[in-house]
Amino acid sequence: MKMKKITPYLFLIPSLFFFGFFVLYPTISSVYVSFYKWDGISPITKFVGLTHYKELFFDDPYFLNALKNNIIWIVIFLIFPTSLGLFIAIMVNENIRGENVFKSIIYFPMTLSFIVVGLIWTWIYEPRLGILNSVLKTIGLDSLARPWLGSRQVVLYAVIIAASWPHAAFCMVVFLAGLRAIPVEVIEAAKIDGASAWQSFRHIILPLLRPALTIVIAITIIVSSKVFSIVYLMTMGGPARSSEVLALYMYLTSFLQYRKGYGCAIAVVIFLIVFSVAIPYVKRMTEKEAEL
Amino acid sequence: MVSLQRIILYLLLVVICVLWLVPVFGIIIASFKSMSEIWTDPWSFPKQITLRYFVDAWKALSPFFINSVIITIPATLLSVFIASLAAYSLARLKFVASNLIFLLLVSGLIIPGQAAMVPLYHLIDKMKMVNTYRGLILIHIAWGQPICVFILARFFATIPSELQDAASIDGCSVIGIYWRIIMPLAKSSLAVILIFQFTWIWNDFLWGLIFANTISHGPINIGLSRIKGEYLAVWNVQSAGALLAIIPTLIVFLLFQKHFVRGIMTGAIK
Repeated sequence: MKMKKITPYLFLIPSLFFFGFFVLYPTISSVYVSFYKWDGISPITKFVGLTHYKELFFDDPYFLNALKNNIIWIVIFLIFPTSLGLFIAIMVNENIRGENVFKSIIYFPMTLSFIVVGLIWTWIYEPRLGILNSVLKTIGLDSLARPWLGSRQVVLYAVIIAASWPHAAFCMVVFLAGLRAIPVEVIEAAKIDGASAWQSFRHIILPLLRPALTIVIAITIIVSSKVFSIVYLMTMGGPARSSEVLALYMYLTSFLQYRKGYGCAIAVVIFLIVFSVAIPYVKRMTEKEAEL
Repeated sequence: MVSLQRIILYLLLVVICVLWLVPVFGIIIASFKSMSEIWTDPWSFPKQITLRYFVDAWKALSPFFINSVIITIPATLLSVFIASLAAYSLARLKFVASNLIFLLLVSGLIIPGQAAMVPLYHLIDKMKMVNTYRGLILIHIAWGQPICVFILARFFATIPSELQDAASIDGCSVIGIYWRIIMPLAKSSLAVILIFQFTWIWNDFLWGLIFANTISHGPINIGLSRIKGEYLAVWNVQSAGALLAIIPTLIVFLLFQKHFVRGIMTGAIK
């Protein structure tokens, strides 16, 4: 009988051990380390309390620059790839022949790493050889052609567009699932009552898409806040930090400048942003799951 | 009768799909052309197909590719296995703290890597596992727990308890129920999560950068980022490298498309 009582815990131990030791513990430690000035080499002794946080928000133009870039990322990501994904999902939802082929093609970029996506789009943006400038020149819009990743004004947007390619794919799949969950009868009833396509969309489909929208919005904000790899590969935050994002700034500070306490403070800020967005979502998600 | 509307819809979708794949066509074309051909005519079909650049890229990438194989396969299998044990416990062996622990694990989904990066590095360093395969494997197992447990527990919860009760009455042990009843039923969920984990771990860059930014143990994306530097402006080799790097995930994707899409969809709606 004793065996029966502890068995559930035995099954849990490996998972909880890994999670606790390699995920939770370091995360909590980051908060602790952020209160110290530390270079990563000497022992951790210089307690500085909230100095790093004060410095971040009041004395660090690079942090504010990175924060601004993430906010721009969030805003654009919430508008562009999400509506593109929704638009494509609505079309794919119409039960057309070869649907699986379309779905697979649209979904494909999601299987690529952001390093590969970055390489692909760096080639597209190549000033002399890339297709973007070539097409612009061909259709006579020469003046718009420019070094997309080399120009301070546009580089951030160029990288965001590149990252939108896989993100739109993700949004499409989530929205498609949401659309498929809407009972056909509801749409039919609306049609019978004389609702136009737009009216159906606004008053029936959109509200019923709420679960899918919640997921898309939450995940979009979260990935926009912690974006790292694609910026690292495409621009390293340049030119002149114009495409630098928080996660990259944190990495550079911690591992290349050896300001690990300060870096942890940046990491904590990133985590707080993600946390505050995700909490309502996780709550809603687990409320439904509360009775497993 | 096919209405005009549907024809337009179909055409629109075809156009979108073509545009969608233009980026990929770009690197496919570039990977077969010589640089001088690229300089004269970058985006037309290659006049002569040569595999030279794939060979060059492979020479640069093969250590990283092999590293990724060594890291990704055990990490995927172990992380799903360990998560399945936990999911079984949480979903089928109810006990007092089930829900709380489930919440705890799942909340790990929102922890960004950066939030743990610095202490994690020093932890792994103290364990002398920086720049080793096992270090990376352990990290991937740990960081994969939230999503794997989440997906598997949800599925396990849908298995009717009558099955479990019947087995129990027949004298089946707890482990037996796990191995002979629950796991076989979970085949499709397991397939989904194995595919996702494989893809995520293969595509990792951050952990590779922090813990194994070397040719001896670095995963494929580290290799790709280095190719970008070593072969700066040598677009054909870079493109070939990117194509080589995506072969495993592409194969997995093509073989298991249905599972991929279904996985996200079932994860999404509920």
